[in-house]
Amino acid sequence: MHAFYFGHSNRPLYGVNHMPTVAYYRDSAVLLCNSIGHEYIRSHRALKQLAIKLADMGYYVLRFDYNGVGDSSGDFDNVNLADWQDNIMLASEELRAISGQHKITVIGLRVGATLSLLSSEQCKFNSMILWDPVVSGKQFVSNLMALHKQLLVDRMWFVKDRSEDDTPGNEYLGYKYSDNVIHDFEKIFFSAFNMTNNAPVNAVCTSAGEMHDLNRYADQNTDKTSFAYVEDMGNWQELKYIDSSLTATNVLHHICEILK
Amino acid sequence: MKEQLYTYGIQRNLQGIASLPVVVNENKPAIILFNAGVVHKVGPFDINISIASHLSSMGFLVFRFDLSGMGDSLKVKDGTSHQVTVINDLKQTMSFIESQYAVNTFIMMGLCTGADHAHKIACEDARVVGNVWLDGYGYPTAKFNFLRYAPVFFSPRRLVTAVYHKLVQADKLLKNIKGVDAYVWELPAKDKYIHEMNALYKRGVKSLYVFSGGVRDYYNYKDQFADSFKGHQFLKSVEIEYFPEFDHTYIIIKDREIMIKRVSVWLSENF
Repeated sequence: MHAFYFGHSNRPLYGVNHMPTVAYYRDSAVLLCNSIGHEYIRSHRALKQLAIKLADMGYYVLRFDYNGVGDSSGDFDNVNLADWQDNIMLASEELRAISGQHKITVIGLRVGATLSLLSSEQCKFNSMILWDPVVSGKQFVSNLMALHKQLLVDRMWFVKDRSEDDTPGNEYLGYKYSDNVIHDFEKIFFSAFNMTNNAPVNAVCTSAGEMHDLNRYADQNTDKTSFAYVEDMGNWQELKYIDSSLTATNVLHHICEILK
Repeated sequence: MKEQLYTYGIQRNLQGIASLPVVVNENKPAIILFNAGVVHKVGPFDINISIASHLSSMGFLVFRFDLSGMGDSLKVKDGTSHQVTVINDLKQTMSFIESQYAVNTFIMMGLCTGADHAHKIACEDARVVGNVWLDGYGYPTAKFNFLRYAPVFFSPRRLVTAVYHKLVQADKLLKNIKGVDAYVWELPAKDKYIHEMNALYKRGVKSLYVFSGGVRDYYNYKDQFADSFKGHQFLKSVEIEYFPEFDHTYIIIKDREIMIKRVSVWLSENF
């Protein structure tokens, strides 16, 4: 496990690579694309654990932070979805360069899954695993707003109700989203499946409801697409989980089975 | 803000990021931030990044890093306990900063479990000259108990509910606590704490303790700390701030900014 900066020198991205820990290398490398905002923090540990497991299976793995997120440069309220798609492109190029592998499997979580899908053609991913993908960007934003509203009057968080004026603009759950990001989210939803470059897609869902939406939004897809419901922690729409570290043993096991 | 990423430590297992001021002043202490609970070095809702950005703009070198086995730092399998590893990590981090920037005094800043670690390393290592706690130790006083329990005792309905919840919570706590000792802290015995604080006072260590409404279960009024240790000399070296309306992780950006401003004022006045 080694942390480093890559990408443009004036806007460096923070990445962590995990080299295979076994004698044999797989013929493809794995790129992990996390979510954003509070979901990024929740998922950091789970993605690290996944990276360690995959490295133990012989995969070269790269996980990274988008500009404005985590340890990468930039301000969260000054980036947009196109920037993050560019980041995925840069990360895939970096992974090809450092691993020496041309083939890449991308594993995206939540917004990271949706962004990976939108970037798949440009990045020429060979296969994709989408973990609890955001089915509708519009729905994602409205859930964020609803959770934030609940937060302000929740006694587990605050002694007294907090006013919405305390979090002006697009501040939701600890992060100020730019107008551009909110606007961009309005436009994304899962029929973006059309944009894939025919790479096999495995979608993993921890919510039966989301699984239903996923099936509804996904175009009558090809035999290259498969969906699986895995009972595990996700709870992306519940306030009590917004600051709890994601433990997803079953999902990690399922993903490792796919890549076995 | 210029940031520099480092891999360091005797086993090269630690990952940290230095937020650099325009000019590093060797006479100014560096500020060290680390994990709160299991959250990696960015801190809950990026609070460590906000702190690092603001304090480095004030001329302080700020270094935030992941303890062994947390975030992006690797665990060292040498059989030592978590507490010993934490102290070793903090010592190695200070030595590393010293070697890179010739700064040899430090201020530890920790939230929750981080505050516990900050206190322990301050007691062990004379290079620590300041401590900032966010929701660190709190000792109950008579006034604390009154504020906490009086409303319950004056309402029979609330009393029944409180007893029920207490029983359920105690049961849950017992079930959850096994195996997570690394991420929760134990309040030191009061006598031991007084002894340690007197030693820090004699050494000239200054402290700012900030409490939020998020820990109202053990801290519920501004002067609770002063009341707990009335007459002890070390109180002269401790400043207390209390934000009853704020939550434990400063999830609201405005709250975070107010807290950081308070820390900045304390730093300007003391260092």
